Parts: sequence; C-alpha cells; structure tokens
Amino acid sequence: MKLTRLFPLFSAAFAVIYAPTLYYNWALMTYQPALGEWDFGPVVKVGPPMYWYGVVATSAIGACLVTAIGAFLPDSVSRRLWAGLTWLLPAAALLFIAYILRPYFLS
Amino acid sequence: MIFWSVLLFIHMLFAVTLLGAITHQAVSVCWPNRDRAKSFVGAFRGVNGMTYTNAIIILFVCTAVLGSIIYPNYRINVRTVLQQLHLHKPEGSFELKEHAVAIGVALLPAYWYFWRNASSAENKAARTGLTVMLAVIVWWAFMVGHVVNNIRGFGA
Repeated sequence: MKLTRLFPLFSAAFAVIYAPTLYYNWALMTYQPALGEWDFGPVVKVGPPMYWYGVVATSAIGACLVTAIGAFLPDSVSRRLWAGLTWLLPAAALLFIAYILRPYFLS
Repeated sequence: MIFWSVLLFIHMLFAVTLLGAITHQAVSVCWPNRDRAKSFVGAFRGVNGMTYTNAIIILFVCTAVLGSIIYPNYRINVRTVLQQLHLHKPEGSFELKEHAVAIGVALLPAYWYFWRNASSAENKAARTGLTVMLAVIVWWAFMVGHVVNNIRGFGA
C-alpha cells in the first residue's frame, strides 16, 4: 500500500479525535504563557493556561495511531470508505466544537 | 512589541494571499467554466484549480505556524482584554477559529491526495467538499482575525 493512500484517513481521524479531546481536555501538554513554561498534561498555574498545543498534539498522535492501524486494511476497503468521510467527519467535528462553544454566543 | 506587530502583519499578508488562492480554487471547482469567457467572473471561474494546490498548502501551513507563534501573546494581551470588556462573541469566534485552523491543517494531506489527480473525475465530490471546507475555514479565520485585530491588534 502506498503511504499517500492513508492521507485521507489521517485527516478524518484527526478531526474525529480532536472534538472529544477538546471537550474532555485530554491535552498532552499545557503551555503557561505568563511563565513561558510547558507542563505535561492539563495543568493550571499562574495566568491563563494554553491547552491548544496539547490538544493538537494528542489529536495528531491519535490520528497517527489510527492511520497505522488503517495501513493493515485492504486497498479495496480503504478506497471505498474514505472519500466522502474525509470532509464529512471534519465538518461534523467542527459543528460539535461550535456546539461546545455556544455559551460564548448565547451570553 | 514591534516584533509581535511585525509578525502579526506578516501573518496577515500570508492570510490575504491564502484567502485569494483558496477562493479562486473553490469557485473554479464548484462553478467551473471551461470556455474562459472574457468577462472578469468567467476568467475567475476558469482557472485551473490544480495549479493552486501546492501554493495553498504552503500558505496555509505558513499562516497557521505564524498564528501559533503569535497565539500566546494573544492569550495574555488580547483575550484578557476581551474578557474584561465582556466581548464574548469575538472571544468565542476566535476560539472557534483556532480549532477550525487546527482541523484545517490536518485536512491538508487529504486535500493534497485528492487534488493530485484532479484531471480524473474520480473523487470529485471529496475534492470539492474538502476545498469548500478549507475555503470556509480560511474565510472564517480571516474575518475573525480582522475583527479581533480591530478591537486590539496591530500596534496595541
């Protein structure tokens, strides 16, 4: 199997993992901008913590794992599965994220 | 302060270029025009979307990386001001922007994959869906960035 055939799977998996990672805050690390420090996992110290880098890292690692598992699928299966889901799943993930963030827009 | 303002300005220049490129490609893939009519709209629709792909990927990554470098500065100096002023909608819009851009960057491998053989009709729907989605993300990110910059941005 060519590596490039797995690209759509990585993209869809990243988005699908990103939404719950954000919701449950499974950030791999936290950046403390006021201190200029990095911490492992979601940590609150002085000033506003930044989980975004950690959420991206968790999602990227998760997507790599899913892609590695997907490498074992036969070509015929992966070719039929990924095409439409590649943008539908990320679109659904973004809608879910917008739903999570709704308090900002309702206040 | 000057360093961050210059970085923000470069980020904006990349974003403007990306906005133009992705809009061109999205229009050409959704509303193709094979005849390349002499009108402005016809010529706009008639571009070969495939030629934009690599440029869009590079611009998207550069813009996102620059944004992620500026981001801690936003978190301390801008977001706190938005919270103090109870500007929840711009704050929430920016939150959505950061997540949309992260997902957008992750979509680029699939986007490249489906545009690689754009001359074939195979996967046209996926190619169109991904391009439109990236265009929506870029437009959202650009407009939110512009609004937040107007509230407290360049030179603040």
